[in-house]
Amino acid sequence: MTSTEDIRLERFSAGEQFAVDPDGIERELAAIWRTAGRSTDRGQPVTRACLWNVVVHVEERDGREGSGDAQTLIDTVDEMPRHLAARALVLRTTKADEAAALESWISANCILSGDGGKLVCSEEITLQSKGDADRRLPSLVRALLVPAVPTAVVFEGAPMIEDKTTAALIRLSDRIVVNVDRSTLDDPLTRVLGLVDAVPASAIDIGWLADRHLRQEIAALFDAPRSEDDAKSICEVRVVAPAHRRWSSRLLLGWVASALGEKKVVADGPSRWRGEDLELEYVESEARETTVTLCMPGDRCDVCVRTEESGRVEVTDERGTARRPKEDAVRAALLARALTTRSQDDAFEKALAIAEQMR
Amino acid sequence: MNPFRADTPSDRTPEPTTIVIFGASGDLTKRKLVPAIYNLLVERHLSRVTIVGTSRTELSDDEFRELAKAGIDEHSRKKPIDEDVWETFGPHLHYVAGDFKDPSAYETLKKKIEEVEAEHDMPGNRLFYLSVPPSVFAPIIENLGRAGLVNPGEDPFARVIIEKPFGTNLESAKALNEDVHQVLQENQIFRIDHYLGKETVQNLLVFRFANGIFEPLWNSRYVDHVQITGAETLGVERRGAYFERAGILRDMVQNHLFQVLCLAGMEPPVSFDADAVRDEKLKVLRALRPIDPDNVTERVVRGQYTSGSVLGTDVPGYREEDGTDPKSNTETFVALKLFVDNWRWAGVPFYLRSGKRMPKKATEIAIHFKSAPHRLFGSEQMADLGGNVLAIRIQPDEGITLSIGSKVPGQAVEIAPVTMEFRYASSFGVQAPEAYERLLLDALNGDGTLFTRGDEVEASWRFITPIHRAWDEHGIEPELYEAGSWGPESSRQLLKFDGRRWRKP
Repeated sequence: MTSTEDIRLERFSAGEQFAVDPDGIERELAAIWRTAGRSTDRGQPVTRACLWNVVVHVEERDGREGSGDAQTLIDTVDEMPRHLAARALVLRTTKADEAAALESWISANCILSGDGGKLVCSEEITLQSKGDADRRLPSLVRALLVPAVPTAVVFEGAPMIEDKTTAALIRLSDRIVVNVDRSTLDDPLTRVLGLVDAVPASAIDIGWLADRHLRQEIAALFDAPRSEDDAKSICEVRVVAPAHRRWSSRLLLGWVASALGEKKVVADGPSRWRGEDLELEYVESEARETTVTLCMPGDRCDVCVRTEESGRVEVTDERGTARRPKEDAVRAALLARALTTRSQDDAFEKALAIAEQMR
Repeated sequence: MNPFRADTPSDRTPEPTTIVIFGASGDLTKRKLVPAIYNLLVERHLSRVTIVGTSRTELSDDEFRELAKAGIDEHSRKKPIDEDVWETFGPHLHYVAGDFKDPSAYETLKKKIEEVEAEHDMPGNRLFYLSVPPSVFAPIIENLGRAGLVNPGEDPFARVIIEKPFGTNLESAKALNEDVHQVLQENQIFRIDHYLGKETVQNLLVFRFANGIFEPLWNSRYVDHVQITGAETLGVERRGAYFERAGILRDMVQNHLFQVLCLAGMEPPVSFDADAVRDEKLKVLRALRPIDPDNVTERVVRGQYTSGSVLGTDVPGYREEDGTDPKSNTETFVALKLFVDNWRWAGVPFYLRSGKRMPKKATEIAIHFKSAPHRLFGSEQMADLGGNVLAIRIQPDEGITLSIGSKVPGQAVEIAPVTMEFRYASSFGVQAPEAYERLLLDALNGDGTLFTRGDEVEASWRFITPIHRAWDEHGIEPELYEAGSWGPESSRQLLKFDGRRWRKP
């Protein structure tokens, strides 16, 4: 016979959200998993998995850093288990003039395991704070972290470290994931650089990860038989990209500059910068694609790497044109990649150090 | 050094290379090699690659491309084929027919390679893949040497991948090593064992040496015994004629299971450098206690399947399979009791078994720990518990399981075994790459860690050859077992004699 607990488990594993008292979250989750443990001989077995705590901070006040399309972030978290098992803590804050209140919900994002026999679930806990109840969030988050697994804190934009809640979240994180292209600030790169220097947790940008295929294609252009000297002969780099990619475009420019040995760049126009041997330019475009053009002496600007809306990357040089698919750039996949050791490349910090100078 | 490749050491992208495949019209090229290269290209693990296929079959470049495309369509894990990638990759596939034993064919091959390299602006790096019968390994390498196609040096490099089997006994393996070393240096030779490309096999090294808690327990003080199983539900399929000559001891144990044994039993290497890892693997093989030929049945069980039912389907016996001898005494099952006579494993038996037509497909290593030294909770409570078992599943459903005893909730002290489980599929959503992808990439990068070194091959044959000899000299016939069972009765007895039993994977 199907009990009330079984029905609750079934609805929970199907993704339904249950409102729970913030103090009783772990208790409710434990009760659900107890049911799952007893239910192995009734219907589909359900189990939970967790390799990371992923704390997502969604600011729901318009015009504030980290505001914007909260639903995108929440959808990303829902999609995460396809790429990495994690307990997600979604913090939604609306400070405004409302009375202080803290509400919470639990749900699960489940996938069928590889052999199709078991439903494997990642837990999602949503905490909604109103008014100044956000001051209670860090202590609640600390209590809700799955022990002995690392914690990542994900920000839309650059973290406002002067904000007490944000600062507290950063202190408990092992990895900070930012998205500078979503920033409403004038200096998100400066903020991220400051963060990298100030906290032991490593930081990585989602836009940087999304551009990995562009960097790989550029690197491939200078594999043998081309030499280091061929790469060093690049005298101008131009990135044409839409406005919403302006900050990650600077990271791309910073990466090329740092790889070619530049340490310092100075402004040479509204969106132009000059290093010792290299000119850099960002051109804002209406189109959605990003194009990187590398110029050699004598106005030879025939090396070009371009993303296309169709999800392709087109590479052109004197050998001709080649097109390849982009990597899986859905945000959940990028977020999962942000939590691997492979994301900790020195190239990001070096690129950031130069990009930050491009104000 | 490409400055754009600096600072991203984890993204290993090899130099543009021409891959020359001997046996290019064969099954392995179509099913594994070309799809693997294509997948690596799609995922940007390769920047540029050119393939020159060669075999005795007369094919034009276009016909070879059609063959390759059909292989990708059918066997790539990335389907459907990406037409943009194919548009670039297709023209990089070339073909030249030739007789592997004819020295003049290598002049034609050399000319073709040079033309292709010039056409595609390749830097002269070459990887030769010998997907051919073992009888032509030596002539091909000798002719490659004569034609000046495999000169030592790293810039550009010339490397050779050799498929198994590398010899059929100690003498032939030694002779082949000598022939190969006449032309190539050891760091140019990549003896492939696709088991080592499997994600879980690689994870065994990470599991043991990146985690602090297991290594202190990984020795005779805490481990009671180790079981390594490589079970297949399949019979010999279309390989009857080959298998008839080989048998499962050569086909599975000498290479795959011994490699797994080495990784499970080796000492921590001083680094993750290829030779450091292979030095430690070699020490395990050298420490294997030799089998006494006069008492081979005490430690080795030889079996052959008869007709039966596997996964609900009736299947014929081995002697009724195509290409086999109706009076064959080739073994399709083998179980061994091994001892690694060194400080770490003194007195710990390693039980290995491998068989065809088993009830299920399963490859796993199970570390059986000793029971608690004092039965605090009474013999009755603990009798059924056994020791803790750490099982590392290599395929399918890759993962790690640790079984422990736990108190059953209630007033009485009742103990039940429970398991802690890690499954790749549940924890990491990503699709694991094919073993050949990883191994090809490693060979292109010059990393021999997951390849077998010449002295390792000889050491494994040094152990295996006396078993074959003893079987022949003493006329030991395989013991029959029904298809769909876990092997002959003697296999069960091998462990029962020691007060143990095989785990059911």
